[in-house]
Amino acid sequence: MMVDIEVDDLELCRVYEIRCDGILGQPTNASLLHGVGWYTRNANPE
Amino acid sequence: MVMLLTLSLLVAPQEPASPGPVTKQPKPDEATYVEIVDVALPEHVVLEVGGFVEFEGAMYVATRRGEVWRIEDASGKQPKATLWAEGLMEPLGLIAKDGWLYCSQRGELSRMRDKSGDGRMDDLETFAAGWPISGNYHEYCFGPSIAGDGSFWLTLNKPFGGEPFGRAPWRGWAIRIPADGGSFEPVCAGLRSPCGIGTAPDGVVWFTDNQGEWCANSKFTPMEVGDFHGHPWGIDSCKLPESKVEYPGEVPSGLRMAEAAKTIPNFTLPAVWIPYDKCGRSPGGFVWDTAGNFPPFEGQVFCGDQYSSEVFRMSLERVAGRWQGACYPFRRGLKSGITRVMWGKQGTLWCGLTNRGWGSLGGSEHGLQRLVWRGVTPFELREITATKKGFRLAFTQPVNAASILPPGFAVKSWTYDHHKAYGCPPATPARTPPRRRRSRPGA
Repeated sequence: MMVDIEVDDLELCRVYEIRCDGILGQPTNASLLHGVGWYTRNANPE
Repeated sequence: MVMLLTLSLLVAPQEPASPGPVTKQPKPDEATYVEIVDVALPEHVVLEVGGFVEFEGAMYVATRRGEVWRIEDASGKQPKATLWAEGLMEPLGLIAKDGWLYCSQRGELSRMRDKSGDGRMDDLETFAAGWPISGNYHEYCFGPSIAGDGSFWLTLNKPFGGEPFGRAPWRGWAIRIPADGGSFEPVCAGLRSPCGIGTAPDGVVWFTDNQGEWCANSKFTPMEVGDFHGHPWGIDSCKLPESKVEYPGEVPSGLRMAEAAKTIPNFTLPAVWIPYDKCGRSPGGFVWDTAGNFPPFEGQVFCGDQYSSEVFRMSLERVAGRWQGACYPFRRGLKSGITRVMWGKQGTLWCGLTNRGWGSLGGSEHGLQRLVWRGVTPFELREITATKKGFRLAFTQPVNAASILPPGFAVKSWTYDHHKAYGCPPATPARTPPRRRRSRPGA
């Protein structure tokens, strides 16, 4: 299962903290175990 | 900075969201999925772990006290530890190759074996030496790790505080030793406190570094010959004929990270910044899960943290020719700081612990523990990857489409300054609530 996020004004050499605390599993409505990640964006896909 | 988020689900056809309020289940617990198993050893066996390896049916553990212990049945109920070697100078790595155990000492890479077979090391050779030490307590030598070409790599900590016998060259460097030993080449500069060193599946050697002066935040970075990783302590050594790194010139303090990357020769950005106190504090050793030992996260990197006594994970991707990726929490609650991790034969993750002089969370000063996958897949954010306009989030299980709504979903970002001061708080932070969501079936 994948979710795409579009972000305006993307800048490089930044850390993006993405928190998904409210996202629930299907069909059990399970909570995420942690639901957070920190992505280091140095380059954009070509 | 204003950012607009567009969320789109890339899913196999799924059930429509149920009407009405969503009832959230209780927050799951890490222990449901990953068990921490302690290795009970006699009190006199003090395993301040600097390195460890499984070799000829036993586990060998090198300690900061200069010993190597041989542990039989380490995963069993009654492990048996015997002293195999002693008198080494703070070995902070241990690997096996061709019947030898290789370990770093402060001033050399050594190799050892038990020729007589009596259970004690009786043959020690200097495999390579020649990098000076000033006498400062913090001039650790980490490794080795063997690169894809067979060479041995070590990382040399810079001193913290006084240098009783004057400044030594090559501090804050990575050095490379040929496969047959005997000499070394200084290949990368600008390291600070590079406690973790390991080799990726493609043969490239990576390291973790610890936040401090000229190191805005802890980080995880691949090493290529000629890299300058930012700390100017040892850059005068670039002027020596053996250096493989171009002298970067005087390093200005206070550049925004993007500017530093553009203007400082060979300045190397990390693949992953590991945000201080969000995801550990002092990263140590790491391993790739190439065997799917922790199945939902196969291919990812698992790293121990020496302060927070946790293992976190990292995902990597190559974008526009360079590595970048993300870090995520995984398992907290080990009993001491983690310097080293390694996969055991049963697919468990061994964690070597010590905190003497450094401090850590947890109630112990040293020891051995291992993480055991319980076989249940958590609902978890598995991986973040970059897209042209944002990010793709992969989850371990299907997502309830109705739940992808603000404020339960948030993005914020920041950068760092490259400066002399200790660490760097988030610079130019930006927070953006999601504004729009769009769902569509299909992957």
